[in-house]
Amino acid sequence: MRAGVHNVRIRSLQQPPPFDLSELLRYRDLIYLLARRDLAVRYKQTLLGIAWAVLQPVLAMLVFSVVFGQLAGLPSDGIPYPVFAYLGLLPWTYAASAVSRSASSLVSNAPLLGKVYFPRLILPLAAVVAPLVDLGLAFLVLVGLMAWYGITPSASLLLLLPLVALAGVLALGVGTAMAALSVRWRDLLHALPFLIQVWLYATPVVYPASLVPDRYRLLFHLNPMTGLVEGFRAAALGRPFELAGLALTAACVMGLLLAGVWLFRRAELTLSDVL
Amino acid sequence: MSAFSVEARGLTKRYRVGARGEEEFWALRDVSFSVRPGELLGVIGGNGAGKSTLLKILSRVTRPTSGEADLHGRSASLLEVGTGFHPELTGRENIYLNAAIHGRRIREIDRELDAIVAFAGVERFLDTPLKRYSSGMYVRLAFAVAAHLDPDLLLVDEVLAVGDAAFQRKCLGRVAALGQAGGSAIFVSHNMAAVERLCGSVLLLEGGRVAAWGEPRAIIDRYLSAGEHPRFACGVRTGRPQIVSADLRDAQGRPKGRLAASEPFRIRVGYVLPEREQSVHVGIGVLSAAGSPLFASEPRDAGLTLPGEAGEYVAEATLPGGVLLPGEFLVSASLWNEGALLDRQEPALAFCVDAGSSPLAPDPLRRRAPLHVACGWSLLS
Repeated sequence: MRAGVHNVRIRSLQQPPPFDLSELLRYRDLIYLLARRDLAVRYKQTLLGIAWAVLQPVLAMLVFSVVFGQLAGLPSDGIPYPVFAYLGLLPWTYAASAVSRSASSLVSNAPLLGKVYFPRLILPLAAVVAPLVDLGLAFLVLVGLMAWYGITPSASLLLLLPLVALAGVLALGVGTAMAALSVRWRDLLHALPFLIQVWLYATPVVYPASLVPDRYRLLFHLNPMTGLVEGFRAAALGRPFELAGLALTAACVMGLLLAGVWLFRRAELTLSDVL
Repeated sequence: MSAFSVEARGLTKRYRVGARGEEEFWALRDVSFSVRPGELLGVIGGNGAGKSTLLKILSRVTRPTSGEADLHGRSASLLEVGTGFHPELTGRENIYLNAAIHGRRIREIDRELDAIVAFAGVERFLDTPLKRYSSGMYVRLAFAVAAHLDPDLLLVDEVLAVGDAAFQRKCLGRVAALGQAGGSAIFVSHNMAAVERLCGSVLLLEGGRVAAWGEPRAIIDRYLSAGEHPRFACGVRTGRPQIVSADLRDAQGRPKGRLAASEPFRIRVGYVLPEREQSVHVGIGVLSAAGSPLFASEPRDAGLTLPGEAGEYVAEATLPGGVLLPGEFLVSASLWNEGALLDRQEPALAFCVDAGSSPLAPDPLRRRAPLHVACGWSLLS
């Protein structure tokens, strides 16, 4: 038998088949190629091209610094407000973009889904991977910004890597759930930009978590983005981590991932007949 | 290695149709068959017989409602040309993406890239965005990728209807070579000549059920003699001058679905004039399956002037045998006056011409043109 040969039994199913990680791994090159397609198509025929990856968080940082930092005078835990806002915007911009892309990944690839089989989970996975490139570029600006304000990064900067991974898993969980539900209820995709906007203000991006009254703290930390944004600031600036909050975040993220993938695999069964 | 590369048992597919899914539609019912390694199975049947649903199930795009199928080996589906191609990406990027969608690793594609590009003949355009490709180049690239995926099972749905004859020949050669190498193919086609030449067995579907399965010649004959009768009938009367019907008949005026290449035939076009028209003309055009016009005709050509009084009319054109070579054709019907086009149905009809007992072109791929014009020949020196 040749390498890569495998036997397949096609059956009618009421329940999703057992989760097949090895199949997903066989298709890992497709994740990379789809993510590259996403980036190529997004930035082709734009004047500024990939510079948009940096411009979006930088412009948001400038607007927030003027509106919330200067005019509203929001506190920022003793960090220069632009650095404070930018550190919140980095994970936020990534997560928002990864969620909205993975949420629409099934509907926007409907023609493909009707033509050829591949593990459907590849689509939201690729949608979560692609904006990592934007995040990497935006990170370079952070280094410059910190240097401008005379902040020396500490070794804890390396902790950003597991935090980014956690943000990716969070986006995958929310994105797969949204993608699965949007197959039947397209309204979700219209509501999504608004939901993401609400999510932004529920997350301490423009204001510090210390501003939230203590009795709401648990509720506040049930939003996994809170722990991620706080973690980003702590890691970049070498401040102590709020470990309990971070543990709660990780638990919420895992819960969301399980729920999202469960919904997604159920939607997969009837996907090509519904889309 | 298993005795079969495909074994299907009782495949059934039910779709729910209607606004709230209240109606059921059985696209496939209890379809069983098997394909041996090295065998090419042709699947034939009229529109809505379930051919495409069968391929969708075998390529795992959709699941059967009941029944099961075993596939041994890796399959490459070709449900439609250019699956997953993106117009903004270059030819090279699309080759990689397309092959990866079919489960190939990047290093496998690296090895095959040169062969794919050479087969498709797109060397000069490899780094050009696909949107600048001609449709012919697009199709060639798509088939080249699919054929070089080194599949054990190739599912082919009518791709051979597109592309020029030289490329069609190349594709058929590739399919035949696959069979010799122990791979299998399931080949859905209306091209009976190609099915008969390539396939070791044929599955005839009718209304979602297996009507026959076995030796090609007998089954193709059965299908052709039962061929449905193509006709056009307008759904809504607009109250304006309009083409209302069209159909195909044999020389005796009997409704006919398929023609032998040598046999004369008739095309009837019905039209309605709600009010008196100054002048009115009706005409037919015969088009190739790809939609390019081959010739047109109108009553005026034969010295017949049509009446302009209000009423319903049927005009009939008689066409000689031996002009259309085996293949598929479309008919358009037009209605116009001196000033303007009043109505056009394109295509109004689609029909097949079979080789029959004609000595002309038993192999349509050897003759590139769909028409035959009898020419006199002599050897001058």
